[in-house]
Formats: sequence, C-alpha cells, structure tokens
Amino acid sequence: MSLIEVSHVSREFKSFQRPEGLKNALYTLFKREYEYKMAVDDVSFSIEKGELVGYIGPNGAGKSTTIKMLSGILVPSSGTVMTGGIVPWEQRKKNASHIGVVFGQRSQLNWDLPMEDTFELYRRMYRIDNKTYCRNVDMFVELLEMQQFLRKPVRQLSLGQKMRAELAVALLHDPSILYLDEPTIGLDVVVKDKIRKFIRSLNQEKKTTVILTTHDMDDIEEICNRIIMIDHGKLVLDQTVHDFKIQGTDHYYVELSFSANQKPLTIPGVLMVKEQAACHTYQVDSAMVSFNLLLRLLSDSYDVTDITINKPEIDEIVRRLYKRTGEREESEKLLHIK
Amino acid sequence: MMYMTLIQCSFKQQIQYKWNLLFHIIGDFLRIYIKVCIWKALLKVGKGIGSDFKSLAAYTVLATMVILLTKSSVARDLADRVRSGMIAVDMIRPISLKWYFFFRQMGENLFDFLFEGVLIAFLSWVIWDLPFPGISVILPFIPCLLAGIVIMFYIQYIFGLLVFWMKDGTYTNMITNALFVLFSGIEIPLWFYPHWLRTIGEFLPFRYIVHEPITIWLGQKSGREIAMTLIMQGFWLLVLYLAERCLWSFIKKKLEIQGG
Repeated sequence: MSLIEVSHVSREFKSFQRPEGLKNALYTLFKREYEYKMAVDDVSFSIEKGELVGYIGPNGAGKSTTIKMLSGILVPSSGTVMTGGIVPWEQRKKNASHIGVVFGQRSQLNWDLPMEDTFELYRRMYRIDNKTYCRNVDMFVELLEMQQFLRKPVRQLSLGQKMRAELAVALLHDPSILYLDEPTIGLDVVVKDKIRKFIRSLNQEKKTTVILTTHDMDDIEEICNRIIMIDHGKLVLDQTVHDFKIQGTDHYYVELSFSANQKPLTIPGVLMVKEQAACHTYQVDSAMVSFNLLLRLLSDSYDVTDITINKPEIDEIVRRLYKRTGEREESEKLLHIK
Repeated sequence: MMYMTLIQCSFKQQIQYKWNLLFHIIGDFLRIYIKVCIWKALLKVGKGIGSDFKSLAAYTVLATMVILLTKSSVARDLADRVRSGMIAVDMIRPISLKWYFFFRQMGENLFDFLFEGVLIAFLSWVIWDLPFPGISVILPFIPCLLAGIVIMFYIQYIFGLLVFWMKDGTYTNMITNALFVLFSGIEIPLWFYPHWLRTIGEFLPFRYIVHEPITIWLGQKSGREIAMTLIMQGFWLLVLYLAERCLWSFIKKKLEIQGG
C-alpha cells in the first residue's frame, strides 16, 4: 500500500452571501440560504514513500483544503484518506506525530521566545529521544545556517530566518511526511535557494515524503519529481515533472541579437513574440519548421550576432493550463446561459 | 513533562515584560487597598451586618489571589485563533488542545502569583495584621482551590469552543464574565446576597471557584461542609468534562478552518 492514499475525496463548504439591501439583510437573520461550494471535488491520488510532489493550482483551487484533510484537521464530506495506514482525522494526534507541516502564512513559533526554547518544547511535545533530537538540531542548524539567530526572540527575526526556523521545528521529530503550504512565499532568492536545497537533501538523507503547494514554479522545478494539479477542486493532472515538461516541447523560443535586419521572418510556424531594438524573439513550432530551415532563414534575413534557444519553462506550461481551464469554465457558463 | 516545559516557556515569556509586572503589582495592590477601605467604611456605618473587618479584608486579598490563579484568556485566544485560522497550527501537534491551553495559562498565572501575588499577600497580611489559619484548614483549602482553578478553566474553554459556530467570541465572553462576577463571590462575599440570589447561585458552578475555597480558609466551614464542597466540585468537574467531550467530538466533525 502507498504511504498516502486519497480516494474520491470531496469537501464542500457552506457559504452565505449577504443579499443586497437592508430589508433582505434583515430577512437573513431568520432564514438563510446557503450556497454550497465544492472546495475539493472527487480527488484521488496515491503517493509512495520518498516522493517529492508539487501540488499546484490557481488561488482557491482547493490546495490548502486538501493539505488540511491530509494532515487530519479537516474532515472530508465524502471519500477516504489514509496516511501511513491511519485515517488522519480519526487519529489526529497519532497522525500528527508522524507528519510535519509548515504553513507559509502561519507561524507555529512562539513569538516571544528564542528558537532554542521552541526546540525544547517540541522535543517534549513529540517525545523525541535525546539522540535523534541532538542529531537533528545539529543537522538543521548547520544546513539552514541558523547559528546566528538561535538565541534571538522570534519576533526579532527576519522573514527568511523565521521560515527556516519553521522548517526546522516541523522536522525535529523525523516525520515521514512533510506538508509544505507555500513555504517560499515572500522570501528572497538566496533564502529560497537555501530552503530548496535543504528539502532536497532532507529527502535524500531521510527519505522524507514531501508534498508542497506553491505558486513559484521554480520550487517545483528544483524540488519536485511529480506534479499534481487541481483546479476548482478537481484533479486536472498527475504526472512526473519530466512528462509534464514534454508537453512544452512542441515549441521553443529563439532569441537573437543582430546588427542588421532585412525583414522579419514571416513564415507559418514562426511567430514573433517580442520585438526590441536589436533583439527579436520568435516562438517556433518544431513540427512545422525544421531546425535547419530556421537557421537558413535566419542567416538570410539577419546579420546575427548572438542566438539563444529556450525551452518553455514549467511556468509557461502551467499558465497555459490555468488559462485553458479558465476558458473551459467560461464556455460552460455560456452554454448554461443558452 | 511536556507540560512542565510549557509552563517554563510561559514563565520565560512573562519575564521579558518586567515593566508590566511592576504596574500589575501597583494596580492590584491599589485595588485591594480601596476595597478594604470601603469595607471599613461600611462596617462603621452599618452595625451588625454579621462580619468582622479582618475576615472581610482577608476575603478581599484572597479573592485577588484567586483571580491571579484562575484568570484565563482561553476563550478570547480560541476565538482569535479560530477567526484567523491559526487554530490549524495548534491542531497539527500531537497534543490535546485543551491541556495545551491550560498549562500555558497556568505558566502565566503561576508567574503572576509567585512574583506578584505573594508580595501583595505578604504586604496585606502585615498591614492589616490578618490571622493565618492552621494546617487543618490549609490542607482541604488547597485541593478546593485547585479544583476551582480547573472548573474556571473548563467553563472558559467550553465557552471558547462555541466560537467554532459563532465565529466571534465577544458576547459569549461577556456573558461568562458577568456570570462569574455575579455568582463567584469575587467582588462581594455571597453571604451578603439576598436569599433568592444565593439560591440561584447554589445551582451554578461559579461559587466553587472563589467563594467556597475562601470560606474554607476563613474557617467558616465544618468538616462535613468541607467534604460536601469537595464532592460538589467533583460533580461539577465531571459535568464540565462530559460537556466538553461532547462538544469537542461534535466540533471535530463540523470543523471548518478559515483561510487559505
């Protein structure tokens, strides 16, 4: 059996919208009509030990709701979840002892106390034996470079320092699953990089399974080997990062700098996407235009000084996917009106 | 073990705010002083209200000590955390939410009691030359006081949990606080109350938090009455425990956590 089994999980939320007008608003004191919204709608997947999964989707897609159900603090309306052989919300405390969670936007550190004290508290809370505790603290302090701020009260730390501290605290008890809910939100490039490297090496050393939600596709690129995408609560895609990127290989980008230009390229399959003074960028459809032909055309029409060829980044593929689901919804709405 | 560390953490947290402590001491002492002066004046005017000055002064000081030990922000904390969704963070730990809040609060209260209460009590005892009861009174007083602390916490916690439905805890807090002030005897000893009000109070748990422990201390209770009080406290603890369990199992199913 897989480490995490999610099958046909749905969760709906009741929401209440205040109607316009005072009279109607008063009326709702007595009778309310609720709107039911599926935050997660019939989602199934399973994750093996040691996988690094990027869980992505637009804002409000149901990512955090899924994480909450997996970590046992939210009960689904229907469907089953098993993590490490137990149902997380039925045995919340037992489940909690073998998971680690970092909410990028919520701190679990004590504001007034230095990290050392929070470590000590977590050691007791999770009943971590001395050997593991010392080993982990040493390892995290070194890998996350926490020496300088171990003794400062948390309220005096910078966001980057705090996030590193959050990670360390969440991992102190050697959890088998680590849930990261937007761990790099608001961080600078250097700290982001530190955190990504840290998660990678953690996974290699301890075989920790990681599920990560993010809007930063570099996180996915550098940490994950599998992508699960949901949108409007529905599972849209579940692939390895490798397969995912292949989707983008039907086209590539050519950015060329030139000293003189006769005429821009105007053949089918080649599309100018950016025009600057001495630099043009084309999007090339690899099925329609062979590379040799492209090179010949380029040398015919330009005096090329430099040329760069780029494959689409995950970012772009994701953007297309998000847009596509958005459009589908639009057309569904139109159908509805008709 | 974990709970000891939690108390320690609360302690360390409190120590950071040393000016708070100073003003807290001054404020509480002033309050006691004013109250005692009022009692003095009342006793001069109204002869024969059935109480002597020393027990009223002792009552006032003890009531302040009980406040220090029982005060609890759990209802407000819970409300804030549920409203902001921060409750998610508390729920991913392998511990009971209730005891986590309880011991954190106890850490704070013990700190206040040791660094503030003891000093105030000592001063008051010297200034008004109050009597100190014998060991046979202190022995039952301690469990009675502890039970009172737990009762108070349970009440606050249960009302705090209601925020999972109401999404806002302001008014439930106001109601619990009003009931507490009226029926616990924290401001005025219950023996001054009219008969009908006392009768209502008999059926509520609040008097077991302040009034009952203090009357034990003042030596106004016989052995039989003390035993009865302790039994009643046990009864209320059981009732509150069951109520909390019911509520919690219901909340677990209904739980919605705010925010993304």
